[in-house]
Amino acid sequence: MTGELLSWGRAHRFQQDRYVLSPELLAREGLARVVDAQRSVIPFGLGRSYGDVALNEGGTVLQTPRLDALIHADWNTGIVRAEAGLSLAMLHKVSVQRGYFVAVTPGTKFVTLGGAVANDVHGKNHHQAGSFGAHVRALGLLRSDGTRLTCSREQNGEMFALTIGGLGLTGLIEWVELQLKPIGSAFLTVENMACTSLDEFFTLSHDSADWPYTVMWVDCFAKGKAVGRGIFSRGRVLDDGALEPHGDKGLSMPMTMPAFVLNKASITAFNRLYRMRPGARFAGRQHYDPFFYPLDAIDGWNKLYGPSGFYQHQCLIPPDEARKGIREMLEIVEQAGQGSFLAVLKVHGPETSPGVMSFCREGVSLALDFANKGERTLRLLDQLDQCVARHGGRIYPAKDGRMAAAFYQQSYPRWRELEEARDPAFSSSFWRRVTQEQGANS
Amino acid sequence: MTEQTIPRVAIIGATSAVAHAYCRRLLQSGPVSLVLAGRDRPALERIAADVTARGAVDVQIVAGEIGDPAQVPQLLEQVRGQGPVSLALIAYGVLGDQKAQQSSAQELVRLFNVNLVSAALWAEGFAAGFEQAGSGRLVIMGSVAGDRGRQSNYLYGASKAALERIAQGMSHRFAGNPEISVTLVKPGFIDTPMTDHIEGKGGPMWATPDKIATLADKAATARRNSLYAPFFWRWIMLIVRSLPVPIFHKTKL
Ligand SMILES: Cc1cc2nc3c(=O)[nH]c(=O)nc-3n(C[C@H](O)[C@H](O)[C@H](O)COP(=O)(O)OP(=O)(O)OC[C@H]3O[C@@H](n4cnc5c(N)ncnc54)[C@H](O)[C@@H]3O)c2cc1C
Ligand SMILES: NC(=O)c1ccc[n+]([C@@H]2O[C@H](COP(=O)([O-])OP(=O)(O)OC[C@H]3O[C@@H](n4cnc5c(N)ncnc54)[C@H](OP(=O)(O)O)[C@@H]3O)[C@@H](O)[C@H]2O)c1
Repeated sequence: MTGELLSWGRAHRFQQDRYVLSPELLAREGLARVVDAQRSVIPFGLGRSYGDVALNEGGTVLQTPRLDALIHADWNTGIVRAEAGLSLAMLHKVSVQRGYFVAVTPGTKFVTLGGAVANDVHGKNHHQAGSFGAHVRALGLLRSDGTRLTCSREQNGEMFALTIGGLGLTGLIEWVELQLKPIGSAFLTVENMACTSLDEFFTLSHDSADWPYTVMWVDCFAKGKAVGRGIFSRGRVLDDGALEPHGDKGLSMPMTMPAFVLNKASITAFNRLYRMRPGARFAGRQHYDPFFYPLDAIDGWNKLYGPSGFYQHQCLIPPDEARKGIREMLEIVEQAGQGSFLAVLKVHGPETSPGVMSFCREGVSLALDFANKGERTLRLLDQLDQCVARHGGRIYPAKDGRMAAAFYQQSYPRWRELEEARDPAFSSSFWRRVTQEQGANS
Repeated sequence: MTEQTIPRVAIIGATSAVAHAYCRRLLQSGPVSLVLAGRDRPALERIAADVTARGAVDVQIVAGEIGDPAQVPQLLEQVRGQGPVSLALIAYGVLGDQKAQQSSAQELVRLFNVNLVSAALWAEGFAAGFEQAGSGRLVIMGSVAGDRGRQSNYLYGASKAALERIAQGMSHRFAGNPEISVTLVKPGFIDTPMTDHIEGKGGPMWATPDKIATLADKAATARRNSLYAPFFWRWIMLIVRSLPVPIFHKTKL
């Protein structure tokens, strides 16, 4: 099939073939029909990665969403095995009423299990739960030569550790077995509070360490002492037995939504916004849908950035350098005047996922969005990379579409292990960019 | 709910994307017992595992040539073998290549055997069972293509149109019994393997299998006789049907 397939940032427009994987065909003949010597393949879940990890210019993308069946579920223990194209949205439709939720969720429910594994995604509870991979018990890998591997910590452990965070390069993940987390409610008790400075952010994070979910929305227009101000949010799942899953349409809960997040169309000064928005001073009970997935309520919000799309930049800076590094980053953004509307700051805990190439480590992460204004934006992003590099940090491939090869290789020093384990028929635009770029073989 | 009150549901063509979505939809409102009939046993096993994990009980697979009229009677026996069916969905269908159907007798006969003759046999089989039990619901997948003959797919359209007459007549037959209902679902475009060959598919005219399944479930529960899915096809088909012949014949539809 042809037809343009874009990643979430919509900034890359590539010529590539798309192939919709069917479970029947996979079972019968594996990947034989889609693999040929001329063109590489890369799996594509729901395309919620912002850059080019799931894109393959000149090659083929394998769309997985029809691989969406549950294979086995034990609702007494919360151990679920499902095909890798199943989305968290669909999983929760089944699991929530039975008192289970994924142990780790990113900020959108429209991600597949395969995508969540391949990027080893994290959520607001990283400081307690680690990344997604920490809760993966096993996975099934289909290689282009037809081999099927069951990988877990005990079995094919090396391949397991390289597939978690392995960016789809080790082969097609056919199924994933997860340990879900028991929940006593679909609702959380949530506190959103004003935070006036970066120092206060660190204090609030420290004081909230026993809250399972913490995050901060940052005001990128703040200057001087106010740098790092924002709205700090923390939540804890309730135990009131109200186990209702999310609805089919995005819930419209303006009151409980951190509505200022959605207001990115207007670059109003944060202060005004802050005083005006009752949602910004919210303490109460909130359903998981608006709490974890506020942006899912607006279908296709990524198109608001217009035809050129946008870039995300998410870095992680190690604990010792975090205060300095994050302040510098925010100052660079403020001075550049290119306004990031969505900025998210989060303290991460020690990593417990086995993923060798996973983004997450202990430290502090900052995620920024920038409309794609061409060279100007790319220059700013390079400047941010340099700052991250100076402080010993790294950036998140799931959000990246442009980092320099040298920076990638320096910040993910074990990349050669993934290159070794890569299925020879699999490759992506991202992988060629960060491993084959000129002058990057240091 | 006790075992006895769990409804027994038969899905004919359970490997269809819409049928699978329909099973999932049913299971969202509580356990059901399922008989999954189709041609492809491994594919049926995959679906059986999925619905079992979602709370279906007592899932049975009936594998065979469900679209072959000669096979239907004995497959029907197997489907009804384990107890009375209270809800049945006839979902399978083949679109095929109109050009091939025009020029090959074999293709043409096959199309009508699959979409019409075998489906009619299944429908009559279930109707007889419902009559005996005094209750039951039958859901049949038709298509908007049955509304007006168009050069690109009138043979497929004719098979679906005839199915519509059968459903319509059955609704009439059971009009006196509110416990028995027949629902004909007429979808427009659905994003399923059946339509994968269509270039540039996607966009507001296309529905997901889940959307169609949800509408079918609602309509069957409300015992509606027929529906366009989604509803806007009603207006589109009203226009398509009312176009005067001279104008219609100028289109390439
Ligand atoms: C609004 C929003 C909020 C987000 N919030 C967060 C967040 O809080 N934390 C976070 O970590 N991420 C976050 N993300 C990013 C997102 O979670 C990841 O990009 C995720 O991997 C996307 O999953 P997907 O199914 O769309 O995969 P895609 O984006 O389609 O693919 C991602 C990668 O997975 C690979 N892949 C997909 N399926 C398979 C398979 N079956 N086998 C092998 N490889 C496969 C692809 O090749 C690619 O390398 C967010 C994204 C959005 C849009
Ligand atoms: N997709 C659309 O746009 C659309 C629009 C209007 C109406 N419909 C109708 O909706 C129903 C469901 O289709 P779908 O969209 O869900 O398609 P689908 O996922 O492609 O499923 C087609 C089903 O038909 C079965 N089938 C195909 N050829 C058959 C044959 N010769 N004998 C017996 N079974 C056969 C398939 O079984 P196997 O797995 O064994 O191949 C499968 O179960 C069909 O009746 C179709 O006509 C579809």
